[in-house]
Amino acid sequence: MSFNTSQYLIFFVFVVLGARFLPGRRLQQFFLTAASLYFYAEWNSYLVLLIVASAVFDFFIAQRMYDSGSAGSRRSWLILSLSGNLGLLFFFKYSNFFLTSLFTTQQWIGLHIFATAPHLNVILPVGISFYTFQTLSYTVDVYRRKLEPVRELPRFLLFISFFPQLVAGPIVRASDFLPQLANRAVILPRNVQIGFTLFLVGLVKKAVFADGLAPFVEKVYGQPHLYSSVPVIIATVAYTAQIYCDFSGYTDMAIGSAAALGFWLPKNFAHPYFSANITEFWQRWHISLSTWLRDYLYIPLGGNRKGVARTYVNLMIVMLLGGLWHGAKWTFVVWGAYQGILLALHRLYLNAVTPAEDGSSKFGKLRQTWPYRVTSVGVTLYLVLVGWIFFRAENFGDLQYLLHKFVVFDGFHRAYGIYLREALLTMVLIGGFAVLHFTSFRLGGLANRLANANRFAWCCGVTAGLFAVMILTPSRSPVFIYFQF
Amino acid sequence: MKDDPAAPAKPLTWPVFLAQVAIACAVAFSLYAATIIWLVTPYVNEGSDAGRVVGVYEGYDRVLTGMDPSRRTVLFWGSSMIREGIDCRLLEMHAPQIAAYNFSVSGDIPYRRLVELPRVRRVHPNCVVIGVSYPEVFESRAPFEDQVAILPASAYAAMSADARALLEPRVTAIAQRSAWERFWWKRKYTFPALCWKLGLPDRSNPVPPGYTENLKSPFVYTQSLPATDLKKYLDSRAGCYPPYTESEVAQPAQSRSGRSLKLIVSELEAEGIPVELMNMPLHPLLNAAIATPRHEALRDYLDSLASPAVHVCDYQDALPAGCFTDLVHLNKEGRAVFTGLIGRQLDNASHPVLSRSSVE
Repeated sequence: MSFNTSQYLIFFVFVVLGARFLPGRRLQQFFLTAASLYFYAEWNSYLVLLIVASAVFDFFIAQRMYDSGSAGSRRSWLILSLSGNLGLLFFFKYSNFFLTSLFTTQQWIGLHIFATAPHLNVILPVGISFYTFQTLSYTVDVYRRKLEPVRELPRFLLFISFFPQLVAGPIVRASDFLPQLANRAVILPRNVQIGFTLFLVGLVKKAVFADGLAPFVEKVYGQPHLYSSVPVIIATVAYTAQIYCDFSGYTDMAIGSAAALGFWLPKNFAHPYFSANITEFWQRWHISLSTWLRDYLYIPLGGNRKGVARTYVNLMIVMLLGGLWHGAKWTFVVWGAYQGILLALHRLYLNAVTPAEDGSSKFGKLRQTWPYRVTSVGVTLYLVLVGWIFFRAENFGDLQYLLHKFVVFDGFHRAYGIYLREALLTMVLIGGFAVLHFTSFRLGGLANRLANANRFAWCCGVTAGLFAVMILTPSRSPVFIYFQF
Repeated sequence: MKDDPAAPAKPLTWPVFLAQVAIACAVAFSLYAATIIWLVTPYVNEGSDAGRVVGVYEGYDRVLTGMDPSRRTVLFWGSSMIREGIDCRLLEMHAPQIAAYNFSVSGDIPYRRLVELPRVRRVHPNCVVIGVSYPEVFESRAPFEDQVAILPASAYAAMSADARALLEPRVTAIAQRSAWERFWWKRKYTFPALCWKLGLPDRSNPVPPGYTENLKSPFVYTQSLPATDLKKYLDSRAGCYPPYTESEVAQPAQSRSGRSLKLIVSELEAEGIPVELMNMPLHPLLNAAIATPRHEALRDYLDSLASPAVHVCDYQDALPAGCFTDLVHLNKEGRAVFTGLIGRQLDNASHPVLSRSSVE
C-alpha cells in the first residue's frame, strides 16, 4: 500500500478514526500496531513475520543486555543482536550481490569453482534497511545505557513497525519515539490539519514532480547511448529533482501521517540543493541516515579523534557503507566513494582556509559575500548532479557514457524518440520545482508556512495543491525510489 | 506532536477544519472539471491522435448521412501509410463515380479496427480497401491505450462475440472503463492541450487543424528525410527494422494482428461488403532489407484470405525512392502517383471486387 493511492487514503481515515475513539493507551497502541502490520502485509504477508521476529529478538536481547551485570556479558548480547540484524540484512539484501561478485572475481583470476553465477531465490523485504537500522540504534543505545529497554512488547513492536515510517524512513531513534508512546496519543484537529498540509505538500512533490519527471529520466537513462549531451543533461537535472521530490515527498507524507495521529517524526530534508558545500549537503539530505551513520559508525570508528589520516579513512568507510546501504550494486559503492572523496576534499579545504574564516583576511571577507555563497551553491549542486549519475546509472558502461556526455558537451543531435512536448514538459517541471524549492528555502519551509497560515490562505493553498495533484498526476505512478533500498 | 510556537492562537475545531477541507476539495474538483471540459476535451477532439480515433469512429455516421446513392462508396482503412498515401479528393477526380473516404488512424493495426466493424456494417460501403503491410500482419502488440480508452465502453459492447474474444484482458479492461474513469484519465492530455491552446507545436509534424475529422486528405508529414539518413539509419540497425524485417512470430496466422485481419475480412465478406487488401508501397531501401521468404510469407497470408469478394494486390515494390518521406510513408509526389494508380484501378469496370457491387 503506497501513500499516493486511494487505498491508503481510506486506510488512513479508518486508522485516524480508530485511534481517535479507542479508549486507553494500550488499546490505542495495539490498534496502531495491528494497522501497521496490516499496512506492511499488503505488500507481503509472510514478511510481516520477519519484522515481528526481528522485533521480538531485539526486545528480549535488549532486556537481557541491560540486566546483565558484567561488561563482557553485555557485549556478548550486543554482538548477538548485531549479528542477527545485520545477518538478516545481508542475507536478504546482499547475498546475491556477493555471490555474483564472487563469481566475477573467480573468472578474473581464472578459477572455475562455479560454472554459472550462483543465485539465491530470495526477495528483498521492503524497508528492511530502514527498520534494521532502527532496531540497531535501539540495542546500541541500550548497550551504551543511554536508554532503558522497553518492557512492553506491543509498545516496542509499534516503535519498529509504525506504518508511516516503516517502509522508507525517516529512521527514527528509539530515544525520540519511545517517550511518545508513554501516553495515549491525542488526536486534535490542529494536528490533523498540520499533518494534512504536510501530506499534501509531499503528495504534490511525488505525484506532480517526481512522477512527472520520471518518464523522461527513464527514457534517457534506460538507453543512454541513443542520446547526446543535451538530453543527458536535461535527464540528469530532471533526476536530481525527481529523487529529491520522490524521497522528500515520501518523508513529508510520512511525517504528515504521523502528525495527524499525534506523533512526531524527525525532519529528513532541509533544502539540500541550497547547500554551499558537500558537508552541508549531507547535513541537509536524508538527515536521519547521515546522523545515524555519524552516531553509530563514524564516531565509534574514532571519528576525527584519531589523527588526520584516520579521519579520512573513517569518512571513506562511512560513505562506502552508506553507498552500499542504498543498494546491492557496485555503482552505489562507487557513488559512496565519490561522496567520501568530496567530503575528504572539503575537509582538506576547510583545514587550509579556516584561519581566514574570521573575516580579517581578504579571502575571509570574500567568503562572507553573497556572490561567494551563490558560486559555492552552484559548484556544490554541480558535484551533486554528477553524483546522481553514479547513483542512477544501470551499469558501469552506461555510467562512463553518461559522465562523458555530461562533462564533454556535444549538443542535441541525438535524441531518438523524444517528442518536443516531452522535453518541454520536463523543462517546465524542472523550472516549477526550482521556483518552489527556492521559495520554500526562502520562507523556511513551504509546508510549515502553509500549515500556520490563516484560514483563507490555507484553503487557497490546499485548493491549489489538490488541483495540481488532480490534474497533473500521471496515469501510471512509479513506486517510490527508496522502496528498493 | 510538539507544540508549534507559530501556531494560531485561536483553537481549530473539527467542524471548521472539516468545512475547510470540504471547500478546498469542492473548489479543486470544480477547477479540474472546468479544465477537462473547456481545455482538454476540445484538444482531444480536434488536435490529438486519439481524437482521430473518435473522428473516424463517428465518421461512419457522417458518411451515412451524406451518402450519394449514385456513387460507389469506398472506405480506405489503414495506418499512417494510408493517411499519407491516399488523397481521396484526387482519387474522386480520377474516378468521379466513386465517393472515397480516408479512415486512416496513426499506428493502426487490424486489432484496433475490430471495434469499427458494427459501424461499417451500418454504412455498408461498396468496398473497403485495407492498406496492409508487415505490422498489420505480423505484429502481436495491443493497440495503444489512448486508442482504446478514447472510445466509449458502448463501442466495445457492440462488437461481435468473435471480435471480443480476440481482445486480451488488458485491452478489455481499458475498453470497459466507466465514463467516470475516463473523465479522470483525460487529465493526461492537460499539458499537450495547454501547448495546443498556446499554439506551441508538440512535434516536428504537428497535427493540422481539422485533421481528426478529415476523411478526405488527412496528411500530417511535411518533411522528408534524405535517403542518406535513411540508409545510415538502416545500417546502424544492421538492416533490422521490426516488424518489417523480423518479428516475434514468424507466421501471420499466429499474430494478433494477422488473426484480427482474418476476422475483419471474414465478417465483411459475410456482410456482403467487398474487400481489397492492398500491400502498401515501401521505400526501395527497406525492400532491399526485407528477405524474400518474409515477403512471400506476407503475400501467402494475404492470398489465403482472397476469395471472389476479397481481392489482393501487392504494391510493395511499386514506387521509387523519390516518392517517400521516410522508409514507409509517401510524400506529396508519391501520394499523387499512388492515388492515381489506385483511382485508375478502382475506376476500371472490370475491377474484381468493385464490379461485383452495384450502385443503388
